[in-house]
Amino acid sequence: MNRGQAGCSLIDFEQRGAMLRYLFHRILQLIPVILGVTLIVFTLTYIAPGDPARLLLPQDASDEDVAQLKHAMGLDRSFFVQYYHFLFGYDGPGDSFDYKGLFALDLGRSYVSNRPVFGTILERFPNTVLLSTVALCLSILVSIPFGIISATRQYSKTDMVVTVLALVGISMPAFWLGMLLIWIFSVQLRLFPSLAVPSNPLSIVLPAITLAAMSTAVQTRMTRSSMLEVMRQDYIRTARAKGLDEKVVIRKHALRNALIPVVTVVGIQVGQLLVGAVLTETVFSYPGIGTIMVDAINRKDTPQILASVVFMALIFAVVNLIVDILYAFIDPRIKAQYIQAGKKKKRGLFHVISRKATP
Amino acid sequence: MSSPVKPHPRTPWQEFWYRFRKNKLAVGGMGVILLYVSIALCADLFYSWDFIVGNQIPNAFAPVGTKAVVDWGGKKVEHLYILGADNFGRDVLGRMIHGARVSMIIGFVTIAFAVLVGGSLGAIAGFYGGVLETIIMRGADILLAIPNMLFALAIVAAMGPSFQNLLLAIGITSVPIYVRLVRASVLTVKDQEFVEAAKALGARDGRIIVRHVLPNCMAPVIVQATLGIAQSILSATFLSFLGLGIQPPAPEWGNMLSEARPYIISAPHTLIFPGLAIMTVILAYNLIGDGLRDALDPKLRR
Repeated sequence: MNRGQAGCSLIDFEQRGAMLRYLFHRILQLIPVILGVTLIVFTLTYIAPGDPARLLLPQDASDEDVAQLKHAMGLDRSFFVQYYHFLFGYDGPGDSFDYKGLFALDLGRSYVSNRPVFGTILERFPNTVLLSTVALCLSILVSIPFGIISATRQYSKTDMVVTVLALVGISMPAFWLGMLLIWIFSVQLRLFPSLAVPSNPLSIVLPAITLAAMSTAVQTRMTRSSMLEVMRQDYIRTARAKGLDEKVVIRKHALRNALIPVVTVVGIQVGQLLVGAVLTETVFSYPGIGTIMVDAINRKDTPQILASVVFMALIFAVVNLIVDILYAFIDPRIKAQYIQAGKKKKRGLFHVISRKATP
Repeated sequence: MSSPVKPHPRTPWQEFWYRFRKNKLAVGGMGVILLYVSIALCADLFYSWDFIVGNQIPNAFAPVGTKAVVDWGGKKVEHLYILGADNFGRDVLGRMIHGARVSMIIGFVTIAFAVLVGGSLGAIAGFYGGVLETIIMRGADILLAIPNMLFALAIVAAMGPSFQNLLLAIGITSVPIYVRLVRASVLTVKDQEFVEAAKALGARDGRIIVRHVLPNCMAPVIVQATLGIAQSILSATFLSFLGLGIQPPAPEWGNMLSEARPYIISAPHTLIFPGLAIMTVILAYNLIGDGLRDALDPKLRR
């Protein structure tokens, strides 16, 4: 008994060590991604045509004025100096264009509203999180049961309907679906408002459905194929041969194994939902970060565009990291893999981050 | 149904076609795409460009199937609005047909670019390995860490909306997936005997890659490219919807939806048809992609 426990805790210790190593590794891998993403986004704005200083000044401003403003904004510096400012902050000759840099979540003020760009983003971010969370829950609640039903009754009428709907779902542009829903449920049936605000739960229904549609379709397809795969395994036949109830076979034996790949897909969908929110928010005029970004683009508000793109890309990277780590906790096989691979160098550093959802 | 016994073994292409055509949905998808492509090619035969970009204000929001008089070249001509008219009285069907041209071009050009660039980089990374591989693959990983549509959005937002920038943005964001795909396939192929044989015969690297390695890596690339075309078209409509892609009055399905948005109540037909067009094209490409995967990838075949 004692020896058994000692052996157990030794394995636990080894496992925990491996998991910590893994965690450390994954978090370390985030650094080049963040630097790469910021460099790309910064380069884009750097090479972008159009001079922000000229845009800020009245049209008849002299070249001298423009040069002076450029100097005050630090835009006359070299690429690398400006990138350094972007990351670690800028302290110019005047005070009006100073900012503390990306790592302090300060990229200066909006050219339009003159408010700190990250202030606006952080203020509206909870709205986007709310919408995405509702959509995520909705998609999981719908997709997994339908995926299971579809797989357990393969080639039945239900399966046909679910498969066709899922196919339509992955092919439907979200903004079109959103407008169709407005047309049907707001204009014709007058059930839901067409403008969405976070304070009115009823108004979130349509945007949430719009946002959830694509993920639901992807996850349904994944659940179905994963279930079909698992149902073919020998241990399912064994479980049935033991005389277990079909419900128990599905719930206890099949589903648990089938859900593992589904979890990955759901994880990828979390990131996709945040991006999909850009469109959904635009269609429903919902005050989230998507509408901030679109407004900023329409008004050529460079600091605001930069901040929102970088912010969303970083959120995407962090969410993927979290999913990746959770995934290792959920699937014992992955844990085992990391215990074995502890000494060996792991190939494919960003293997889950980069695994895209291909419907 | 038992297939007749063939006296000769089928060529790979016949084998592929034999398997592909068994998937009726995929064949249907291919039919839809061929239809769209031929409509796009002959767009000018159906409606002239000047007509579909010119305003006919008196006919604004004409419903589906309306016969109305239009002012055409200084003359009054009777015209049948098969799918109605939009907010400027422009023919919705005509704009959709010319929009199909834009979408088809975007789908093919961006993916051709991505396959060419991504495929070459992936082949180099997989075949040579070493520092070159590390640099290429890390670059691809970083690009993949930014969601496709967000990245395309950022590029167009920075460079300004134009057709070229739209192609560039969607093309660039599609590259990294092919880098990974081709590299992975090259890695599995490059150590096989026929490559060694080619090496032993003294073939140059370039010849080995192009003639021996790449043809054996094409299956996953073709499948991904088909799905990629769907993704590209979707991205283009998305960007145009946000006003960052094709600029009105030039028609594109995304900007048609964007223009229809304020008139959901008064003119739902301007909203429904362009969306249907997008959906059927994407659906068709997805079906073809699924069919190709079943026909080309022996591992996934049932």
